[in-house]
Amino acid sequence: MRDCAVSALMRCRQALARIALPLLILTSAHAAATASDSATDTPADAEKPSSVQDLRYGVVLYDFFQDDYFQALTELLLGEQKQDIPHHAEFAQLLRGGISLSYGMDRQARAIFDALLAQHPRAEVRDRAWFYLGKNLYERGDNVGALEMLQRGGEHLPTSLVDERNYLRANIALQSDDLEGAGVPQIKNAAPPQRAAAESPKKGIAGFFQKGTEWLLQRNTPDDGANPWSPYLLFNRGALLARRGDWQAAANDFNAAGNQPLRDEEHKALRDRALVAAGYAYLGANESQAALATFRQVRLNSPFADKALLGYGWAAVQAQDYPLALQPWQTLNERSLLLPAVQESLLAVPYAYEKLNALARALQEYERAEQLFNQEIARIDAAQAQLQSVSLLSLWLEPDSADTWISRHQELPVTPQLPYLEHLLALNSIQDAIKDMRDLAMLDRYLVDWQERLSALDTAQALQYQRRQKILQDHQERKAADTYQRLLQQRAEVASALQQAERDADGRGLQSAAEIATTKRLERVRQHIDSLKQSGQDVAAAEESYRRYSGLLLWQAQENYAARRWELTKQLRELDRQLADAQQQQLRVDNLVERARQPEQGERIRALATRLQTSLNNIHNAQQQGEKVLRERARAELQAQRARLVTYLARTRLAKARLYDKGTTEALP
Amino acid sequence: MFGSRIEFGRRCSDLFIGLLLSSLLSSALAVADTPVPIAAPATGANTQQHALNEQVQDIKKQALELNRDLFNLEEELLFPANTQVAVFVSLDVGEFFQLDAVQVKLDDKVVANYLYTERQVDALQRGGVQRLYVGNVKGGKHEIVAVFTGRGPHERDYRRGATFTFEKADQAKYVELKIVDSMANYQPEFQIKEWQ
Repeated sequence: MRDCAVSALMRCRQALARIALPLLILTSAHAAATASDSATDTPADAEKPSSVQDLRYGVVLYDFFQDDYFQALTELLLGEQKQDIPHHAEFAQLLRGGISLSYGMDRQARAIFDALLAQHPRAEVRDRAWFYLGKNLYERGDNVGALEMLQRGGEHLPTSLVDERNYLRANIALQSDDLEGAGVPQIKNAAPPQRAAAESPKKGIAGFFQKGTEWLLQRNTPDDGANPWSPYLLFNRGALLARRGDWQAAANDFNAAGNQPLRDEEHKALRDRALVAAGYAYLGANESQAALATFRQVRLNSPFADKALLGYGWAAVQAQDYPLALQPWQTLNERSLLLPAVQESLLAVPYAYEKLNALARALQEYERAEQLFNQEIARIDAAQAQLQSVSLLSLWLEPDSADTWISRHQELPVTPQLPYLEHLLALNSIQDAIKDMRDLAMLDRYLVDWQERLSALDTAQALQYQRRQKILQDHQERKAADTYQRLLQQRAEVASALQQAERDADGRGLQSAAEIATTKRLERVRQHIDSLKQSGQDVAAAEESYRRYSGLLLWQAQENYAARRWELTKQLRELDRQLADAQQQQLRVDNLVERARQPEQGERIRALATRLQTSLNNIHNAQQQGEKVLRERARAELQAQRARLVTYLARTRLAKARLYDKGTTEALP
Repeated sequence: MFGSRIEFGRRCSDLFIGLLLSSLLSSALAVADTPVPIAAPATGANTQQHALNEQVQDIKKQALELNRDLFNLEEELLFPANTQVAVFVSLDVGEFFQLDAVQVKLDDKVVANYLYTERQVDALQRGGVQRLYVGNVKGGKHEIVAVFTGRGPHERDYRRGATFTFEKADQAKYVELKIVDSMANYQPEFQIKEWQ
């Protein structure tokens, strides 16, 4: 639990950095949208800038703001495929890059940014994207890639990010053991590092470090006080100096780090840590009084108090003040044996007694230490056995977390079974691996759920296919009795009759059935009169009657012509209306039939089911690989802890043997 | 003989201090944590982890594309465009109304009842749009009634409804329920917008 306070703060800061880019893109998107709106606004249809112009883009935002990256990315893919995010197309792509980064898909993010950002009109967006990408690569240990990103642009970064970028670049230099250019600060008022780097690109990292680091360490701004990154950089440089054995220079850096203004709990914790490191550096330089004074400044409630107490004791030993050394060590003896400092204090206490010539007490303490070390080794052995038999993820992830989509930004829950792995868990690389494993577990559950849904969809599509076949069959039957053609025929007849009547204009074309029958009778009468006339009979009276009836019939037809024409026109209109309805109906039926002709979807579903299974297999393989990697790291960590305890145990036994040996020569009391 | 033993013991004792000191120093320096810690040098485990991460990235890409295709299939089979109607909810500003719940009736039948969490309301306030309901209706005229429940101005309980009639044709129908702040009367307004 000791390092958790600082680690938690650090992880929180990293988490904020991960979501910073997508948020920046969104801010930028809204700013651009506002500009775009103001350019095209009309009083009638002006939309407020906060309203999305494509529904799917809004859905993406809704998922994204709830950290459901998988769903947000899926919506963006759907939008891209269906092309239904036309108004936010560019920002949707940028957002996809940002979300990909947050979702741990660095490669995809980088490809998107590479394609889009080079031409992005806002230099601020470009520079920030490169910065966050670089930081992400750095956190993943890809220093070459990180440096490439961190060297791009940067003129439009705010001061706070310039500082952080320079800090990251300096850390990369430290990792390559490049300390030569970073000696005692000599460069005053140096130019900002990006300019310096641009002026002398051949000097590379070393050149940057020479100017950049000093600039970073010295930069103080009147408004925000000291550069927030300088204590960390001083600390890291001090650590490298100490590893090289340059104790004095290391102590100077640690002290300088510890003397930075305290602004928050993170800085206080770092100050304690720097003081502890400085104390040990003074010990290494044989400056026991300086070491004592430095250890004394560490807060007692600090996560590093145990190391300070232990170091304080050793500084007292170095000053040959053994009673003073016993005080902090005995305090440490009461604390949890999981702490390395406590384990070491178990050996240190009898050592001090030995130096005070209290040999019997020393022997007693060595025996106690031996017993405790044996117990602790047994516990580690049990933890190792447990490690072989249970799922590693179940040790590190709470079972409840499986039910919800946990944000990648949240602190990972630590189960109490394996406190020995705490140090391991605090490492970024392990955190990332566990997050990857958690994402895989989520994908596994999600895809297994899809397997069930796909099976239901298969059943649904089979039923739909049957129904479609029925539609096609009905359509065939309905075709025989199709009313549309009949109506069309009717209309043609009526229209022709009307046209004929209008052409003749004497009303005969629009006679009623009775009138047509009468006309036919009259024609027969005419024929009869003609044959009588040819046989020489007198037909004058009959002809007169015929003429009168024919005239009457024509008069009647002409009298009724207007009304009948109107009636026909009405009929024609009604037929036209019926035809339009029938046409609509026909269109609907045609659409239905067209859809009904869609092929059976079983093939498509089976292909998707195969892809699902392949993905699930890949997930399971990766999970096994992940378990293996994590288990190996955990095993190595436990092994290291066990090795340390075994060393302590050996030393304890050696000391015991020495005391017994001494007892035979000097007589133990 | 005894003298040499004592000398050996002294040497052991000095060695003991030396060993402890070096152990303590490395321990103190090993914990040199930073906000972005200096990465550990590349090891076999790191290489394995890197390979694993690459593998996981490929799987995520594969799963995303698969998810997209599955959604497409589901939509085509269960909600074809000629019958699909989808209802969305958005919140513009939201200063005069704190959304608690929405109920949607389609042709007098309750099709959605949704209670919002703080996080969801926050996502809406930041410009997100929720896809609340997707269903099917026949062609022709239909009516949507949305009832919004929450807290209005002065922390008072607030419940308002909005009605909308639409004509369903062959294209999918998208309806957005919008909660908008009206600066004219300092009250929330509930609008329904039809998307083409």
